Amino acid sequence: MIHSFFIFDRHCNCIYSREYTNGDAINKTNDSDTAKLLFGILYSLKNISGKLAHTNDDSGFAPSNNTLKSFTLGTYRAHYLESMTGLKFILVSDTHIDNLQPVLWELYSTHYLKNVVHNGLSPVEFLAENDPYSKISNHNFIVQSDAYIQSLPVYR
Amino acid sequence: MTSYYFSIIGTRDNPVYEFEFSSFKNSLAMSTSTSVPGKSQFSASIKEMLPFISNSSLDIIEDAQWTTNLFYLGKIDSFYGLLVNAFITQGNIKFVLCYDVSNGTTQKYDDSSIKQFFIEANDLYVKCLLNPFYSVNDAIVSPDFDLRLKLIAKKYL
Amino acid sequence: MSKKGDDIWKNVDKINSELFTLTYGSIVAQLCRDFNHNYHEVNNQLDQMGYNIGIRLIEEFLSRTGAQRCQSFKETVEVITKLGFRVFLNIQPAVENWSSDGRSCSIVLPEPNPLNEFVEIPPTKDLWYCQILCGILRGALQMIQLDVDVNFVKDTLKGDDKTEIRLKLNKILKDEVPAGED
Repeated sequence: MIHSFFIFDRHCNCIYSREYTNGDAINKTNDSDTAKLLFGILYSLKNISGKLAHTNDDSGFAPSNNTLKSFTLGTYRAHYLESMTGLKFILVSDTHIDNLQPVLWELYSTHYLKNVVHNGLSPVEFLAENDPYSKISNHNFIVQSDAYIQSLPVYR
Repeated sequence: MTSYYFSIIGTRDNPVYEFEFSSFKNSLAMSTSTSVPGKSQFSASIKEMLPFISNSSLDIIEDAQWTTNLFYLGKIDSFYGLLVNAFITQGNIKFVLCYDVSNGTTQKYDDSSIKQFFIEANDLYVKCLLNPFYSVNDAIVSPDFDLRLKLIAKKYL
Repeated sequence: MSKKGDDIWKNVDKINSELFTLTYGSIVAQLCRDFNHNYHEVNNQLDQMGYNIGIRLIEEFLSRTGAQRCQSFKETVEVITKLGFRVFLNIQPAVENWSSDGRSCSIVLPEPNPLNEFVEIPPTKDLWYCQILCGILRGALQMIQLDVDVNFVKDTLKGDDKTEIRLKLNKILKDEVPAGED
């Protein structure tokens, strides 16, 4: 079962959050604390994973393989994908789902690309909180990504 | 050896381009003459008349363009032994070629090669028009255009 | 890598090259008119437009190619020329003139350059007709944490023997830290 979906941009702001309840109903959360806490955990884990695989290369080019993919807490699992441009896609599910990397990639490479990047009127650099452009408000993106997530066999 | 005067005239009857040359053919056979191959042999008095002759043919061109659906209008005028052939582009730009036959009796003038010359000159003009810094009716000053036109002239005239 | 570029190129949507060339040409010509032939300003505008394209194009590039983080700047430049230029412009520029520290190099655009077709620039030394490419590279590289200076040094439109873009890696940007942490 998938619980929620978040996107953070490279400035560490939450630019999209969506919560999926048990039934079909979907409600958009405005609970920015959840997003912040989630981001905090992921940020720390990502730093740790980077340090564990430290390389002697001081050129500043990052090691490519040791990336955070998911982590599990008692009843939740958070699936994580970071694009090279620093966009972070997160799906929170129950613990029965092992791997959502292809789904996250699809959300990035199809839905985000088609509806946000290719949409010249939609910003790609989102502004800080409380600004009308601080979140993805693109109707097509919301509808299509919702439909895609709901169509997954693991959704319920 | 035939001398030619080629001019392009814009939509507002403004001069866009002019080029004077002579036939490149038989230039070896003509080696007895002191002329430089490709250099026109118009006499000074004719030379200064050439732009006027070209422009005076514009009225005829404008009449002729409605009588045919071809772009090449053929020989449309003659003036003191100078013949005038014309071509009109889709964009209403006129190409006019004046040439003398009086002192080049050895060479018979060839209508189809003049037509080919116009067609290729038109291709060249279209290329020039595709340059984003060129707009319709501007004078053509590109040396590259000069060079390529010369090659076309060499090929056909 | 060239092979991969070919494969991707086959699958991307294409547009008529004359439409593309003329569209770009009209933009440059219009900028020249708008800024009264102040070519420095025209270059800046083109660079800024390119930057705005670059920060979007990189996402397209990454999702199409699935490229991973490079291990060195040399590899980055190789990816740019063999995949980037190949996929978006169907040309493969040569890389030359590496500096000894491996932080700067030249990209030489092959002829014919699809942006330059039909073009004859006004007689000036100031206008860099393809400056938009510099902006695109700068924007795209900045989004993957590479701060790079990109500028033209030679252009065949000005009668130079080749069209050369110089890249210089300034620094690698750090990931941003969330507010309140240091």
